[in-house]
Amino acid sequence: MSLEWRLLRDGITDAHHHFAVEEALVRLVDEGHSPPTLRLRQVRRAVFVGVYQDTWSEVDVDYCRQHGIKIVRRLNGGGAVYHDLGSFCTSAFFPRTMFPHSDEELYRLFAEPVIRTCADYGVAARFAGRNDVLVGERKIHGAAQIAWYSAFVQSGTFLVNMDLDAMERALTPPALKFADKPARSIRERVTSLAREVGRELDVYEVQARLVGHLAQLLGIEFAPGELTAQERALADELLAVKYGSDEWNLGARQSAGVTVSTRTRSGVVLLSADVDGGAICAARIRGDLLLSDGAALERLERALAGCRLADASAVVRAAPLPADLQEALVALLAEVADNV
Amino acid sequence: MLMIEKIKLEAYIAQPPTSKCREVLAVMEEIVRRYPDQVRLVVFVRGMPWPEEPSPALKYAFHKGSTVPMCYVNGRFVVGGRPPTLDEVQQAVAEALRTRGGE
Repeated sequence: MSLEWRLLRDGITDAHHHFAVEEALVRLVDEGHSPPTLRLRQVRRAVFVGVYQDTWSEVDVDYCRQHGIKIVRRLNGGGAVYHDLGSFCTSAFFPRTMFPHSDEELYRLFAEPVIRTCADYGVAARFAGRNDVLVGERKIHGAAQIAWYSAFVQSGTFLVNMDLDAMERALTPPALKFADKPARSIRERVTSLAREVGRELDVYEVQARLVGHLAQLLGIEFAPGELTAQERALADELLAVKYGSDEWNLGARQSAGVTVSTRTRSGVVLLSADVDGGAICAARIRGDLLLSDGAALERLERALAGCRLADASAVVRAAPLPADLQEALVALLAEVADNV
Repeated sequence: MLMIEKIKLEAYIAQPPTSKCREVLAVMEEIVRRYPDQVRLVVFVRGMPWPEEPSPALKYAFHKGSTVPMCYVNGRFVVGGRPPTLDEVQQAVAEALRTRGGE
């Protein structure tokens, strides 16, 4: 018996909007409002960062900004990847119970159509590791999974006419990432179908072949469809509050704190500070202090938030605090500044 | 005045912090309180930017996708997957101070 899935080509090429749609779909499949769906998508130049990654250390943020490369944090884990219109992604959204396979088996199952598509172009590809498809030792397709309660997403990225130079420039992989691999650079580790074939390829033709193999292998009948009003509305909301925000995509440059302490006549004082670009984002002062004005420290914390490090000493000295405590805080601020 | 480098405590926690992570922070901050002018605490939040360069061992743990929470003292692993006890961290700090004193 053949299953019917929606085949979705929504034409959304903005990376932020794209991930808002992805999350909307997985949520609504889980809630039973959306049907099993295969989404085919291409995005304009963007870097997708894994949910647990530090964007600032994985991506050359300044380069991306200068060159109009969007940065977006994905819903799932894994490493940072570069995308442009020369690659395309597939996302299969379905209730997890639809497939009896283990997560590992699903990676293999969805890799097979990719391998067959490569074979259509005379390229010998193979499944390798946990979730990659390689040509030789170079990756041509990567995959990821998301489990969202009862829903599941099996997604993949197929490199067709990828701009490998831009990819290499946008990403700043830590050297450790390649420590256990023979290849030392992104260009040495990835390839594209066009590179293997030796000519530019029609991405839509590659997509069509892949969909054909998927349908055949999985016994699925794909019926073209569109996003529903509910899916669009939820995606718009997610775009506004999550995927369109720097807070989600980049995180604050200094989001975690440094805490230092010193002893004063008033007692031991601790200063925790988050610093961004020479300015204090947040400060917290604690200690076993006996102060006549109990709210003075709280007011000082508020005064320091948003203050430039260079001006912080003056702010501390203007606070109604004992002189030794003021000097101790000035010294601790200097210590925080020294390590930024 | 002779400046002696402080012992560096590193805590690696989840975002948002779990109850275990909050326990880790409480223990580590207590250590900062107990050793004024001798230790400094740097908190790394998974998936968020680093406040400063982590120790090589912790950096390696980041890239291996290791569990949270984790605690390091002067780049040496103390405990992971659970909050440390005050004694565990204090012992590691005492060891680090002793080593520093012998240099």
